[in-house]
Amino acid sequence: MDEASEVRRIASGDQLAFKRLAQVYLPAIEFYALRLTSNRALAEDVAQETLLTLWLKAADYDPKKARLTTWLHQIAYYRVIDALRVAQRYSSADAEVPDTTAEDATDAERASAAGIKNALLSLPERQRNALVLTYYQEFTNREVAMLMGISRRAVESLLVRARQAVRQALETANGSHL
Amino acid sequence: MKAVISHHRVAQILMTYGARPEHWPAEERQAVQASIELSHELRALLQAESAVDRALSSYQLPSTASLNHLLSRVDSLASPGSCEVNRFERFINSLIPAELSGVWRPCVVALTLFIGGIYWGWEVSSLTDTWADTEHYAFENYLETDS
Repeated sequence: MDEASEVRRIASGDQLAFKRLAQVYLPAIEFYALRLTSNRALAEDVAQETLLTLWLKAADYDPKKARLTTWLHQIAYYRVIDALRVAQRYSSADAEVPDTTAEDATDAERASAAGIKNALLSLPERQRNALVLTYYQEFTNREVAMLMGISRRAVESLLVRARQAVRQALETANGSHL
Repeated sequence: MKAVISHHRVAQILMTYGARPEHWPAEERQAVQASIELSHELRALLQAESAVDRALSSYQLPSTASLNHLLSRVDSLASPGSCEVNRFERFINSLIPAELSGVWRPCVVALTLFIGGIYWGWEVSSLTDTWADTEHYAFENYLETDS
């Protein structure tokens, strides 16, 4: 699928082209927002609003500057930040998302998933964003740097600290050394 | 030629990006893999980071986002008037390659101006002929009455 052509079609009002891209990016953006906020309702809102921005502002997208996924994640990131600042949901968020490991997961795996969720939520916002973008959304360090408006060195610094914090949180939760 | 990379940099990459090669910077990936093969210490670090990766991967989330809800919102945003335009644009887009979908509007404007220019030029030239004829007949009448 040539995404640049699809976006041009969306800009001219093609709802089928929009549907094709929304099928791919709606869940991706929802996962991203959910990992940043751990708040299901907020993540769904962010995903919907981000995709609506694609529908309304498709003409603003420049494929020479960034991949579509980078552009959409950038929009979603700022929406998450705005929503969290307004709602100040950092502290109350974790109760809203159930631990969702696979049905056949062992107790240890469930405990690990819960530990990771708490560890991610305890990270400072920028460290969490860098880790989620790199690890879960599979962006390159160059793309993360562009998306966050910082240097690649700064991205690496955020990632090192994020992984150290996750490791420490897991060690504390497990009472062992990873 | 194999790229040279320091032991310190390899350790830094593992602690930054984890144990999965696909997450390492593409330009350093080969050199990192080669260095790990040669060092016990780096292999131990790789194992430690694999444990963090496994823990991170255990956090899976099901999607509940409603595509239908989104599409109905998009539908309600498109007014009846704009739907007509969309149908027209969709028709035009179906006739031409996708790469030209952004070009046809300026082409239509340029073509309209071009045709309009030709028409205006033709009208002006016929008007000029008429004036010339009028002046010619008026002059002949003047000569006839004068004589």
